[in-house]
Amino acid sequence: MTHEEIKKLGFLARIEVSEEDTVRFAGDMDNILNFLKQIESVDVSDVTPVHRFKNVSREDGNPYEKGQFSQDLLAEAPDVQDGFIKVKKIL
Amino acid sequence: MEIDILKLTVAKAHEDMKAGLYTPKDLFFACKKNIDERNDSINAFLEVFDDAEEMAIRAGEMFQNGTATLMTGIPVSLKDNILYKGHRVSESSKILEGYKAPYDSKAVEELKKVGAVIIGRTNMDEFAMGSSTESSAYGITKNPLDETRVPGGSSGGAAASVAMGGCLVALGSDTAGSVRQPAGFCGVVGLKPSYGTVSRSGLMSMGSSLDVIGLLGKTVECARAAYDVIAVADSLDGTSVSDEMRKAVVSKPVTKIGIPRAFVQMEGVTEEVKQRFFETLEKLKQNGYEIIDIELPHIHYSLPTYYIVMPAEVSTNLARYDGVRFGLSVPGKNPDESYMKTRETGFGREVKRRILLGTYVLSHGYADAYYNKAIKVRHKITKEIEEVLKTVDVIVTPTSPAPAFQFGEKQDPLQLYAADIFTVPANIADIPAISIPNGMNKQNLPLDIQVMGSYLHDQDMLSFAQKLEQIISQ
Repeated sequence: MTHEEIKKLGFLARIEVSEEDTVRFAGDMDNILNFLKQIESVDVSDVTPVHRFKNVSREDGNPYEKGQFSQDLLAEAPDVQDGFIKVKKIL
Repeated sequence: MEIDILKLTVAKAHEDMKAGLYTPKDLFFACKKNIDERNDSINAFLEVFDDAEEMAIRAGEMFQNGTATLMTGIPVSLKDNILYKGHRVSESSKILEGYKAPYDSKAVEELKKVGAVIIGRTNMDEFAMGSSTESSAYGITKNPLDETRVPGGSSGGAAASVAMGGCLVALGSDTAGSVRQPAGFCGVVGLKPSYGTVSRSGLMSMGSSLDVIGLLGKTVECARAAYDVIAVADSLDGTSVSDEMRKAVVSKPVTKIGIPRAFVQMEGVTEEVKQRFFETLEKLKQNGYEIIDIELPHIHYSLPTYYIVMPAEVSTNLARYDGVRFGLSVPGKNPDESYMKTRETGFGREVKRRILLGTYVLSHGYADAYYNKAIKVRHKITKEIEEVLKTVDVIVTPTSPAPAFQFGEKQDPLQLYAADIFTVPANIADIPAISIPNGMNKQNLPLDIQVMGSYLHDQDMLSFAQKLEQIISQ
Protein backbone atom coordinates (compact mmCIF):
# COMPACT_ATOMS: atom_id res chain seq x y z
CA MET A 1 0.00 0.00 0.00
CA THR A 2 1.37 3.42 -0.88
CA HIS A 3 1.83 6.28 1.57
CA GLU A 4 -0.88 8.19 -0.28
CA GLU A 5 -3.31 5.32 0.20
CA ILE A 6 -2.61 5.27 3.95
CA LYS A 7 -3.19 9.04 4.14
CA LYS A 8 -6.42 8.63 2.19
CA LEU A 9 -7.68 5.90 4.53
CA GLY A 10 -6.67 8.19 7.38
CA PHE A 11 -8.85 10.95 6.00
CA LEU A 12 -11.79 8.56 5.44
CA ALA A 13 -11.47 7.45 9.07
CA ARG A 14 -10.72 11.01 10.23
CA ILE A 15 -7.35 10.15 11.70
CA GLU A 16 -4.32 12.27 11.00
CA VAL A 17 -1.56 9.73 10.41
CA SER A 18 1.95 10.83 11.34
CA GLU A 19 4.83 10.34 8.89
CA GLU A 20 6.31 7.61 11.08
CA ASP A 21 3.02 5.71 11.24
CA THR A 22 2.41 6.15 7.51
CA VAL A 23 5.65 4.34 6.70
CA ARG A 24 4.99 1.66 9.29
CA PHE A 25 1.35 1.07 8.34
CA ALA A 26 2.11 0.90 4.62
CA GLY A 27 4.39 -2.06 5.30
CA ASP A 28 2.08 -3.69 7.88
CA MET A 29 -0.97 -3.42 5.63
CA ASP A 30 0.63 -5.34 2.79
CA ASN A 31 1.53 -8.18 5.13
CA ILE A 32 -1.87 -8.19 6.81
CA LEU A 33 -3.83 -8.03 3.54
CA ASN A 34 -1.69 -10.82 2.17
CA PHE A 35 -2.65 -12.90 5.20
CA LEU A 36 -6.34 -12.00 4.81
CA LYS A 37 -6.34 -12.91 1.12
CA GLN A 38 -6.26 -16.62 1.94
CA ILE A 39 -10.04 -16.54 2.35
CA GLU A 40 -10.27 -15.89 -1.41
CA SER A 41 -9.83 -19.60 -2.05
CA VAL A 42 -12.74 -20.67 0.19
CA ASP A 43 -15.70 -21.90 -1.84
CA VAL A 44 -18.77 -20.17 -0.44
CA SER A 45 -21.18 -21.05 -3.25
CA ASP A 46 -23.02 -23.33 -0.81
CA VAL A 47 -23.45 -20.63 1.85
CA THR A 48 -26.73 -18.87 2.47
CA PRO A 49 -26.15 -16.67 5.48
CA VAL A 50 -28.75 -17.27 8.19
CA HIS A 51 -28.69 -14.78 11.03
CA ARG A 52 -29.57 -15.76 14.56
CA PHE A 53 -30.78 -12.29 15.36
CA LYS A 54 -33.35 -9.94 13.96
CA ASN A 55 -33.87 -6.24 14.31
CA VAL A 56 -35.35 -5.24 17.63
CA SER A 57 -37.37 -2.09 18.03
CA ARG A 58 -39.61 -0.74 20.74
CA GLU A 59 -42.77 1.33 20.62
CA ASP A 60 -42.29 5.08 20.45
CA GLY A 61 -42.59 6.77 23.80
CA ASN A 62 -40.42 7.86 26.67
CA PRO A 63 -38.49 4.89 28.03
CA TYR A 64 -37.32 6.95 30.98
CA GLU A 65 -38.02 10.30 32.61
CA LYS A 66 -36.97 13.30 30.55
CA GLY A 67 -33.69 14.78 31.72
CA GLN A 68 -32.78 11.81 33.90
CA PHE A 69 -29.35 11.39 32.29
CA SER A 70 -28.84 14.91 30.88
CA GLN A 71 -26.56 16.26 33.60
CA ASP A 72 -24.38 13.15 33.70
CA LEU A 73 -24.01 13.12 29.92
CA LEU A 74 -23.34 16.85 29.64
CA ALA A 75 -20.73 16.58 32.37
CA GLU A 76 -18.64 14.44 30.00
CA ALA A 77 -18.86 16.79 27.02
CA PRO A 78 -15.71 18.79 26.26
CA ASP A 79 -17.62 22.05 25.63
CA VAL A 80 -21.07 22.95 26.92
CA GLN A 81 -23.22 26.07 26.82
CA ASP A 82 -26.72 26.58 28.28
CA GLY A 83 -27.35 22.86 28.57
CA PHE A 84 -26.21 22.14 25.02
CA ILE A 85 -23.05 20.55 23.62
CA LYS A 86 -21.13 23.19 21.76
CA VAL A 87 -19.71 22.31 18.35
CA LYS A 88 -17.81 24.18 15.66
CA LYS A 89 -19.74 25.85 12.87
CA ILE A 90 -20.21 23.31 10.11
CA LEU A 91 -21.38 25.47 7.20
CA MET B 1 -8.43 -14.76 60.98
CA GLU B 2 -5.83 -14.60 58.20
CA ILE B 3 -7.51 -14.98 54.79
CA ASP B 4 -5.36 -16.53 52.06
CA ILE B 5 -7.00 -15.15 48.90
CA LEU B 6 -4.76 -17.21 46.63
CA LYS B 7 -6.27 -20.40 48.04
CA LEU B 8 -9.82 -19.15 48.38
CA THR B 9 -12.72 -19.93 46.03
CA VAL B 10 -16.09 -18.20 45.80
CA ALA B 11 -17.89 -21.18 47.34
CA LYS B 12 -15.43 -21.41 50.25
CA ALA B 13 -15.58 -17.67 50.93
CA HIS B 14 -19.37 -17.83 50.96
CA GLU B 15 -19.35 -20.74 53.38
CA ASP B 16 -16.84 -18.99 55.64
CA MET B 17 -18.78 -15.72 55.70
CA LYS B 18 -22.03 -17.57 56.33
CA ALA B 19 -20.38 -19.32 59.27
CA GLY B 20 -19.20 -15.93 60.54
CA LEU B 21 -15.48 -16.76 60.28
CA TYR B 22 -14.97 -13.35 58.66
CA THR B 23 -17.02 -10.61 57.03
CA PRO B 24 -17.12 -9.23 53.47
CA LYS B 25 -15.21 -6.25 54.85
CA ASP B 26 -12.41 -8.54 56.06
CA LEU B 27 -12.41 -10.21 52.67
CA PHE B 28 -12.18 -6.85 50.92
CA PHE B 29 -9.22 -5.82 53.08
CA ALA B 30 -7.46 -9.13 52.45
CA CYS B 31 -7.69 -8.43 48.70
CA LYS B 32 -6.72 -4.80 49.24
CA LYS B 33 -3.61 -5.93 51.11
CA ASN B 34 -2.49 -8.02 48.13
CA ILE B 35 -3.16 -5.11 45.79
CA ASP B 36 -1.20 -2.71 48.02
CA GLU B 37 1.71 -5.11 48.15
CA ARG B 38 1.96 -6.07 44.50
CA ASN B 39 0.11 -3.66 42.24
CA ASP B 40 2.90 -1.08 42.02
CA SER B 41 4.90 -3.70 40.19
CA ILE B 42 2.19 -5.72 38.41
CA ASN B 43 -0.14 -2.85 37.42
CA ALA B 44 -3.20 -5.08 37.11
CA PHE B 45 -5.45 -2.49 38.75
CA LEU B 46 -5.75 1.01 37.31
CA GLU B 47 -7.81 1.97 40.33
CA VAL B 48 -9.31 0.52 43.50
CA PHE B 49 -12.74 2.10 43.86
CA ASP B 50 -13.23 4.43 46.85
CA ASP B 51 -16.65 3.02 47.64
CA ALA B 52 -15.66 -0.67 47.60
CA GLU B 53 -15.34 -0.77 51.40
CA GLU B 54 -18.83 0.67 51.74
CA MET B 55 -20.16 -2.02 49.40
CA ALA B 56 -18.45 -4.65 51.55
CA ILE B 57 -20.10 -3.27 54.65
CA ARG B 58 -23.52 -3.42 52.97
CA ALA B 59 -22.79 -7.00 51.88
CA GLY B 60 -22.03 -7.78 55.53
CA GLU B 61 -25.52 -6.57 56.42
CA MET B 62 -26.96 -9.00 53.88
CA PHE B 63 -25.27 -11.86 55.73
CA GLN B 64 -26.77 -10.54 58.95
CA ASN B 65 -30.31 -10.26 57.64
CA GLY B 66 -30.25 -13.55 55.75
CA THR B 67 -30.45 -12.19 52.19
CA ALA B 68 -26.89 -13.16 51.24
CA THR B 69 -26.44 -15.40 48.21
CA LEU B 70 -23.37 -17.05 46.66
CA MET B 71 -21.87 -13.86 45.17
CA THR B 72 -22.69 -11.57 48.13
CA GLY B 73 -19.54 -9.91 49.46
CA ILE B 74 -17.35 -11.46 46.76
CA PRO B 75 -14.73 -8.96 45.47
CA VAL B 76 -15.07 -8.59 41.69
CA SER B 77 -12.84 -6.52 39.40
CA LEU B 78 -14.02 -4.87 36.17
CA LYS B 79 -12.08 -4.62 32.95
CA ASP B 80 -11.61 -0.99 31.97
CA ASN B 81 -14.30 -1.22 29.26
CA ILE B 82 -17.29 -2.14 31.46
CA LEU B 83 -19.48 0.73 32.67
CA TYR B 84 -20.08 1.30 36.38
CA LYS B 85 -22.10 4.44 37.04
CA GLY B 86 -20.14 7.34 38.47
CA HIS B 87 -16.82 5.52 38.14
CA ARG B 88 -14.03 6.08 35.70
CA VAL B 89 -13.74 3.83 32.66
CA SER B 90 -11.20 4.54 29.93
CA GLU B 91 -10.72 1.57 27.53
CA SER B 92 -7.09 2.00 28.73
CA SER B 93 -6.92 4.77 26.14
CA LYS B 94 -5.93 8.40 26.31
CA ILE B 95 -9.03 9.28 24.34
CA LEU B 96 -11.22 8.49 27.36
CA GLU B 97 -8.91 9.66 30.14
CA GLY B 98 -11.01 10.78 33.09
CA TYR B 99 -14.31 9.67 31.53
CA LYS B 100 -16.97 8.63 34.06
CA ALA B 101 -19.69 6.11 33.22
CA PRO B 102 -23.12 7.78 33.14
CA TYR B 103 -24.96 4.48 33.72
CA ASP B 104 -24.39 0.88 34.86
CA SER B 105 -23.73 -1.96 32.48
CA LYS B 106 -26.28 -4.75 32.82
CA ALA B 107 -23.60 -7.03 34.28
CA VAL B 108 -22.75 -4.50 37.01
CA GLU B 109 -26.44 -3.89 37.70
CA GLU B 110 -26.93 -7.62 38.34
CA LEU B 111 -23.78 -7.89 40.48
CA LYS B 112 -24.92 -4.93 42.60
CA LYS B 113 -28.31 -6.59 43.16
CA VAL B 114 -26.69 -9.63 44.79
CA GLY B 115 -24.27 -7.55 46.86
CA ALA B 116 -21.02 -8.38 45.09
CA VAL B 117 -18.20 -5.95 45.95
CA ILE B 118 -16.95 -4.10 42.86
CA ILE B 119 -13.37 -3.62 43.95
CA GLY B 120 -11.66 -1.84 41.06
CA ARG B 121 -10.93 -1.57 37.38
CA THR B 122 -8.25 -3.48 35.55
CA ASN B 123 -5.77 -2.67 32.82
CA MET B 124 -6.15 -3.97 29.27
CA ASP B 125 -4.82 -3.57 25.76
CA GLU B 126 -6.14 -0.26 24.46
CA PHE B 127 -9.71 -0.78 23.23
CA ALA B 128 -9.23 -4.51 23.90
CA MET B 129 -6.98 -4.79 20.85
CA GLY B 130 -4.09 -7.05 21.70
CA SER B 131 -2.95 -10.30 23.24
CA SER B 132 -0.41 -9.04 25.76
CA THR B 133 -1.71 -5.89 27.53
CA GLU B 134 1.36 -4.11 26.17
CA SER B 135 -0.74 -1.56 24.26
CA SER B 136 -2.46 0.09 27.25
CA ALA B 137 -1.97 3.86 27.47
CA TYR B 138 -1.48 3.36 31.21
CA GLY B 139 1.55 1.08 31.17
CA ILE B 140 2.04 -2.65 30.78
CA THR B 141 0.67 -5.25 33.19
CA LYS B 142 3.08 -7.94 34.35
CA ASN B 143 2.27 -11.61 34.74
CA PRO B 144 2.03 -12.23 38.52
CA LEU B 145 3.55 -15.72 38.04
CA ASP B 146 6.63 -14.40 36.21
CA GLU B 147 7.02 -10.66 36.05
CA THR B 148 9.34 -10.82 33.03
CA ARG B 149 6.39 -12.09 30.98
CA VAL B 150 3.14 -10.71 29.64
CA PRO B 151 -0.15 -11.63 31.33
CA GLY B 152 -1.79 -12.14 27.93
CA GLY B 153 -4.54 -9.93 26.67
CA SER B 154 -6.55 -8.09 26.11
CA SER B 155 -7.98 -8.79 29.60
CA GLY B 156 -4.45 -9.07 31.02
CA GLY B 157 -5.25 -6.91 34.03
CA ALA B 158 -8.33 -8.99 34.76
CA ALA B 159 -6.38 -12.26 34.70
CA ALA B 160 -3.57 -10.77 36.77
CA SER B 161 -6.07 -9.33 39.28
CA VAL B 162 -7.23 -12.87 40.06
CA ALA B 163 -3.77 -14.47 39.92
CA MET B 164 -2.29 -11.88 42.33
CA GLY B 165 -5.12 -12.32 44.85
CA GLY B 166 -6.66 -8.90 44.26
CA CYS B 167 -10.17 -10.31 43.86
CA LEU B 168 -11.96 -13.64 43.51
CA VAL B 169 -13.69 -12.97 40.20
CA ALA B 170 -12.84 -10.65 37.32
CA LEU B 171 -15.08 -9.48 34.51
CA GLY B 172 -13.38 -9.19 31.15
CA SER B 173 -14.49 -9.09 27.55
CA ASP B 174 -13.78 -11.69 24.89
CA THR B 175 -13.89 -10.83 21.18
CA ALA B 176 -11.35 -13.40 19.97
CA GLY B 177 -9.98 -14.95 23.15
CA SER B 178 -9.35 -11.88 25.28
CA VAL B 179 -10.60 -13.63 28.42
CA ARG B 180 -9.40 -17.19 27.74
CA GLN B 181 -5.85 -16.48 26.56
CA PRO B 182 -4.84 -14.25 29.53
CA ALA B 183 -6.52 -16.74 31.87
CA GLY B 184 -4.26 -19.42 30.40
CA PHE B 185 -1.15 -17.24 30.68
CA CYS B 186 -1.87 -16.43 34.34
CA GLY B 187 -2.94 -19.92 35.43
CA VAL B 188 -6.60 -19.14 36.09
CA VAL B 189 -9.94 -20.09 34.52
CA GLY B 190 -11.47 -17.90 31.79
CA LEU B 191 -15.03 -18.31 30.53
CA LYS B 192 -16.39 -16.92 27.26
CA PRO B 193 -20.16 -17.45 27.31
CA SER B 194 -22.31 -18.05 24.23
CA TYR B 195 -22.79 -14.82 22.29
CA GLY B 196 -25.83 -12.97 23.61
CA THR B 197 -26.20 -14.80 26.93
CA VAL B 198 -24.60 -11.90 28.82
CA SER B 199 -25.87 -8.46 27.85
CA ARG B 200 -23.50 -6.13 26.01
CA SER B 201 -25.33 -3.11 27.42
CA GLY B 202 -22.61 -1.06 29.07
CA LEU B 203 -19.74 -3.01 27.53
CA MET B 204 -17.91 -0.59 25.26
CA SER B 205 -18.22 -1.92 21.72
CA MET B 206 -15.30 -3.32 19.78
CA GLY B 207 -16.55 -5.98 17.33
CA SER B 208 -20.24 -6.00 18.16
CA SER B 209 -21.03 -9.32 16.47
CA LEU B 210 -18.23 -11.02 18.41
CA ASP B 211 -18.04 -9.22 21.79
CA VAL B 212 -19.17 -10.90 24.98
CA ILE B 213 -18.46 -10.23 28.66
CA GLY B 214 -16.51 -13.12 30.15
CA LEU B 215 -15.55 -14.24 33.64
CA LEU B 216 -12.25 -15.15 35.25
CA GLY B 217 -11.70 -16.96 38.52
CA LYS B 218 -9.38 -19.48 40.10
CA THR B 219 -11.76 -22.36 39.47
CA VAL B 220 -14.55 -23.17 37.03
CA GLU B 221 -16.95 -22.89 39.95
CA CYS B 222 -15.80 -19.30 40.66
CA ALA B 223 -16.39 -18.18 37.08
CA ARG B 224 -19.67 -20.07 36.99
CA ALA B 225 -20.98 -18.42 40.17
CA ALA B 226 -20.59 -14.98 38.59
CA TYR B 227 -21.85 -16.16 35.20
CA ASP B 228 -25.07 -17.40 36.81
CA VAL B 229 -25.66 -13.89 38.16
CA ILE B 230 -24.96 -11.88 35.00
CA ALA B 231 -26.32 -14.21 32.29
CA VAL B 232 -29.80 -12.73 32.01
CA ALA B 233 -31.93 -11.47 29.11
CA ASP B 234 -31.83 -7.71 28.59
CA SER B 235 -34.05 -5.51 26.42
CA LEU B 236 -31.23 -2.95 26.15
CA ASP B 237 -29.15 -5.37 24.07
CA GLY B 238 -30.82 -6.21 20.77
CA THR B 239 -28.72 -9.38 20.48
CA SER B 240 -29.54 -10.61 23.98
CA VAL B 241 -30.82 -14.22 24.03
CA SER B 242 -34.44 -14.26 25.18
CA ASP B 243 -35.74 -16.09 28.25
CA GLU B 244 -37.73 -18.42 26.00
CA MET B 245 -34.61 -19.43 24.09
CA ARG B 246 -32.71 -20.01 27.33
CA LYS B 247 -35.50 -22.17 28.75
CA ALA B 248 -35.77 -24.18 25.53
CA VAL B 249 -32.22 -25.54 25.89
CA VAL B 250 -32.34 -29.25 26.71
CA SER B 251 -29.39 -30.18 28.89
CA LYS B 252 -27.15 -32.93 27.58
CA PRO B 253 -24.32 -34.43 29.66
CA VAL B 254 -20.90 -34.54 28.02
CA THR B 255 -19.57 -38.00 27.12
CA LYS B 256 -18.08 -37.57 23.62
CA ILE B 257 -15.09 -35.30 23.17
CA GLY B 258 -14.09 -34.13 19.71
CA ILE B 259 -10.43 -33.47 18.91
CA PRO B 260 -9.55 -31.54 15.74
CA ARG B 261 -6.20 -33.31 15.55
CA ALA B 262 -4.87 -31.59 12.42
CA PHE B 263 -5.70 -28.17 13.88
CA VAL B 264 -4.02 -28.94 17.21
CA GLN B 265 -0.91 -30.24 15.45
CA MET B 266 -0.47 -27.39 13.00
CA GLU B 267 2.77 -25.44 12.68
CA GLY B 268 3.46 -22.97 15.45
CA VAL B 269 2.03 -25.02 18.31
CA THR B 270 4.89 -25.79 20.68
CA GLU B 271 5.87 -29.35 21.56
CA GLU B 272 5.28 -28.87 25.28
CA VAL B 273 1.73 -27.62 24.60
CA LYS B 274 0.93 -30.61 22.36
CA GLN B 275 2.51 -33.10 24.72
CA ARG B 276 0.59 -31.90 27.77
CA PHE B 277 -2.61 -31.67 25.74
CA PHE B 278 -2.43 -35.30 24.62
CA GLU B 279 -1.50 -36.44 28.15
CA THR B 280 -4.66 -34.80 29.44
CA LEU B 281 -6.71 -36.47 26.68
CA GLU B 282 -5.31 -39.79 27.84
CA LYS B 283 -6.54 -39.03 31.37
CA LEU B 284 -9.98 -38.19 30.01
CA LYS B 285 -10.04 -41.53 28.22
CA GLN B 286 -9.08 -43.31 31.44
CA ASN B 287 -11.99 -41.56 33.12
CA GLY B 288 -14.45 -43.04 30.66
CA TYR B 289 -14.82 -40.26 28.11
CA GLU B 290 -14.97 -41.16 24.45
CA ILE B 291 -12.29 -39.34 22.45
CA ILE B 292 -13.29 -38.85 18.81
CA ASP B 293 -11.13 -37.40 16.05
CA ILE B 294 -13.00 -34.71 14.15
CA GLU B 295 -12.35 -32.84 10.92
CA LEU B 296 -12.87 -29.10 10.73
CA PRO B 297 -11.32 -28.37 7.33
CA HIS B 298 -12.14 -24.64 7.36
CA ILE B 299 -11.42 -23.80 11.00
CA HIS B 300 -8.01 -22.30 10.23
CA TYR B 301 -9.78 -19.64 8.16
CA SER B 302 -11.27 -18.31 11.42
CA LEU B 303 -8.29 -16.03 12.05
CA PRO B 304 -8.21 -14.23 8.66
CA THR B 305 -12.03 -14.04 8.74
CA TYR B 306 -11.85 -12.48 12.18
CA TYR B 307 -9.24 -9.95 11.07
CA ILE B 308 -11.68 -8.69 8.44
CA VAL B 309 -14.95 -8.74 10.39
CA MET B 310 -13.50 -7.25 13.59
CA PRO B 311 -11.65 -4.25 12.06
CA ALA B 312 -14.72 -3.51 9.94
CA GLU B 313 -16.85 -3.34 13.08
CA VAL B 314 -14.11 -1.47 14.95
CA SER B 315 -13.88 1.23 12.28
CA THR B 316 -17.63 1.77 12.63
CA ASN B 317 -17.88 1.51 16.42
CA LEU B 318 -14.94 3.79 17.12
CA ALA B 319 -16.30 6.57 14.90
CA ARG B 320 -18.05 7.85 18.03
CA TYR B 321 -14.75 9.01 19.54
CA ASP B 322 -14.74 12.37 17.79
CA GLY B 323 -14.11 14.76 20.67
CA VAL B 324 -17.60 16.22 20.51
CA ARG B 325 -19.73 14.49 23.14
CA PHE B 326 -17.15 12.95 25.46
CA GLY B 327 -13.50 12.21 25.93
CA LEU B 328 -10.45 13.97 24.61
CA SER B 329 -11.01 16.94 22.34
CA VAL B 330 -8.20 18.61 20.41
CA PRO B 331 -9.39 21.79 18.70
CA GLY B 332 -8.77 22.36 14.99
CA LYS B 333 -9.70 25.08 12.51
CA ASN B 334 -12.81 23.22 11.37
CA PRO B 335 -14.78 20.12 12.46
CA ASP B 336 -12.78 17.73 10.23
CA GLU B 337 -9.48 18.99 11.56
CA SER B 338 -10.75 18.66 15.15
CA TYR B 339 -11.78 15.04 14.55
CA MET B 340 -8.49 14.21 12.89
CA LYS B 341 -6.33 15.79 15.56
CA THR B 342 -8.41 14.37 18.41
CA ARG B 343 -8.19 10.85 17.02
CA GLU B 344 -4.52 11.20 16.13
CA THR B 345 -3.69 12.24 19.69
CA GLY B 346 -6.14 9.99 21.53
CA PHE B 347 -5.74 6.63 19.83
CA GLY B 348 -2.69 4.40 20.10
CA ARG B 349 -0.97 2.75 17.17
CA GLU B 350 -2.77 -0.61 17.15
CA VAL B 351 -6.17 1.09 17.38
CA LYS B 352 -5.31 3.28 14.39
CA ARG B 353 -4.00 0.31 12.46
CA ARG B 354 -7.25 -1.58 12.95
CA ILE B 355 -9.47 1.41 12.13
CA LEU B 356 -7.56 1.94 8.88
CA LEU B 357 -7.74 -1.77 8.05
CA GLY B 358 -11.47 -1.78 8.76
CA THR B 359 -11.96 1.31 6.62
CA TYR B 360 -10.12 -0.43 3.81
CA VAL B 361 -12.04 -3.74 3.89
CA LEU B 362 -15.34 -1.85 3.89
CA SER B 363 -14.40 0.63 1.18
CA HIS B 364 -15.93 0.72 -2.27
CA GLY B 365 -14.26 -1.77 -4.57
CA TYR B 366 -12.86 -3.91 -1.75
CA ALA B 367 -15.93 -4.72 0.37
CA ASP B 368 -16.94 -7.70 -1.79
CA ALA B 369 -13.50 -9.26 -1.79
CA TYR B 370 -13.00 -8.79 1.94
CA TYR B 371 -15.93 -7.98 4.19
CA ASN B 372 -18.76 -9.63 2.24
CA LYS B 373 -16.65 -12.69 1.56
CA ALA B 374 -15.60 -12.91 5.20
CA ILE B 375 -19.23 -12.89 6.33
CA LYS B 376 -19.89 -15.91 4.12
CA VAL B 377 -16.76 -17.72 5.30
CA ARG B 378 -17.86 -17.01 8.87
CA HIS B 379 -21.17 -18.76 8.17
CA LYS B 380 -19.38 -21.67 6.56
CA ILE B 381 -17.11 -22.15 9.59
CA THR B 382 -20.06 -21.80 11.97
CA LYS B 383 -22.05 -24.42 10.07
CA GLU B 384 -19.07 -26.77 10.04
CA ILE B 385 -18.63 -26.45 13.81
CA GLU B 386 -22.37 -26.87 14.41
CA GLU B 387 -22.44 -30.05 12.34
CA VAL B 388 -19.49 -31.50 14.26
CA LEU B 389 -21.16 -30.61 17.56
CA LYS B 390 -24.06 -32.86 16.55
CA THR B 391 -21.68 -35.83 16.67
CA VAL B 392 -19.63 -34.85 19.74
CA ASP B 393 -20.63 -32.94 22.91
CA VAL B 394 -17.61 -30.66 23.19
CA ILE B 395 -14.50 -29.79 21.19
CA VAL B 396 -11.22 -29.65 23.09
CA THR B 397 -7.99 -27.88 22.04
CA PRO B 398 -5.18 -26.05 23.83
CA THR B 399 -6.10 -22.40 24.56
CA SER B 400 -2.80 -20.93 23.37
CA PRO B 401 -0.16 -22.34 21.02
CA ALA B 402 2.54 -21.43 23.57
CA PRO B 403 2.72 -20.28 27.20
CA ALA B 404 3.21 -16.64 28.29
CA PHE B 405 5.86 -14.86 26.22
CA GLN B 406 8.28 -12.12 27.26
CA PHE B 407 7.71 -8.39 26.89
CA GLY B 408 8.55 -7.07 23.45
CA GLU B 409 8.93 -10.58 22.06
CA LYS B 410 6.20 -10.13 19.44
CA GLN B 411 6.66 -6.96 17.43
CA ASP B 412 5.09 -8.02 14.15
CA PRO B 413 1.29 -7.57 14.34
CA LEU B 414 0.67 -10.85 12.49
CA GLN B 415 2.74 -12.74 15.03
CA LEU B 416 0.66 -11.26 17.83
CA TYR B 417 -2.60 -12.00 15.99
CA ALA B 418 -1.58 -15.68 15.74
CA ALA B 419 -1.90 -15.99 19.54
CA ASP B 420 -5.69 -16.13 18.98
CA ILE B 421 -5.63 -19.13 16.64
CA PHE B 422 -7.40 -21.59 19.01
CA THR B 423 -9.69 -19.10 20.71
CA VAL B 424 -11.13 -17.17 17.76
CA PRO B 425 -13.34 -19.97 16.32
CA ALA B 426 -15.68 -19.80 19.35
CA ASN B 427 -16.30 -16.08 18.70
CA ILE B 428 -16.76 -16.71 14.98
CA ALA B 429 -19.37 -19.40 15.76
CA ASP B 430 -21.04 -17.68 18.80
CA ILE B 431 -20.43 -20.79 20.95
CA PRO B 432 -19.34 -20.98 24.61
CA ALA B 433 -15.73 -21.79 25.47
CA ILE B 434 -13.62 -21.98 28.59
CA SER B 435 -9.91 -22.11 29.35
CA ILE B 436 -8.69 -24.22 32.26
CA PRO B 437 -5.15 -24.49 33.69
CA ASN B 438 -3.44 -27.65 32.46
CA GLY B 439 -0.46 -27.88 34.78
CA MET B 440 2.90 -26.13 34.51
CA ASN B 441 5.77 -26.48 32.04
CA LYS B 442 9.45 -26.97 32.86
CA GLN B 443 9.95 -23.23 33.34
CA ASN B 444 7.06 -23.23 35.79
CA LEU B 445 4.74 -21.36 33.43
CA PRO B 446 1.09 -22.40 33.29
CA LEU B 447 -0.21 -24.42 30.33
CA ASP B 448 -3.87 -24.45 29.39
CA ILE B 449 -6.67 -26.39 27.75
CA GLN B 450 -9.83 -25.10 26.09
CA VAL B 451 -13.30 -26.63 25.95
CA MET B 452 -15.85 -25.41 23.40
CA GLY B 453 -19.52 -26.34 23.79
CA SER B 454 -22.65 -26.13 21.66
CA TYR B 455 -24.38 -22.76 21.28
CA LEU B 456 -26.35 -21.99 24.48
CA HIS B 457 -25.14 -25.19 26.15
CA ASP B 458 -22.95 -23.15 28.48
CA GLN B 459 -24.09 -25.06 31.56
CA ASP B 460 -23.32 -28.47 30.04
CA MET B 461 -19.88 -27.21 29.05
CA LEU B 462 -19.31 -25.80 32.56
CA SER B 463 -20.30 -29.06 34.25
CA PHE B 464 -17.84 -30.93 32.06
CA ALA B 465 -15.17 -28.26 32.67
CA GLN B 466 -15.52 -28.81 36.42
CA LYS B 467 -14.92 -32.54 35.92
CA LEU B 468 -11.97 -31.88 33.63
CA GLU B 469 -10.49 -29.58 36.26
CA GLN B 470 -10.65 -32.41 38.80
CA ILE B 471 -9.18 -34.92 36.35
CA ILE B 472 -6.24 -32.61 35.59
CA SER B 473 -5.48 -32.13 39.28
CA GLN B 474 -5.52 -35.90 39.98
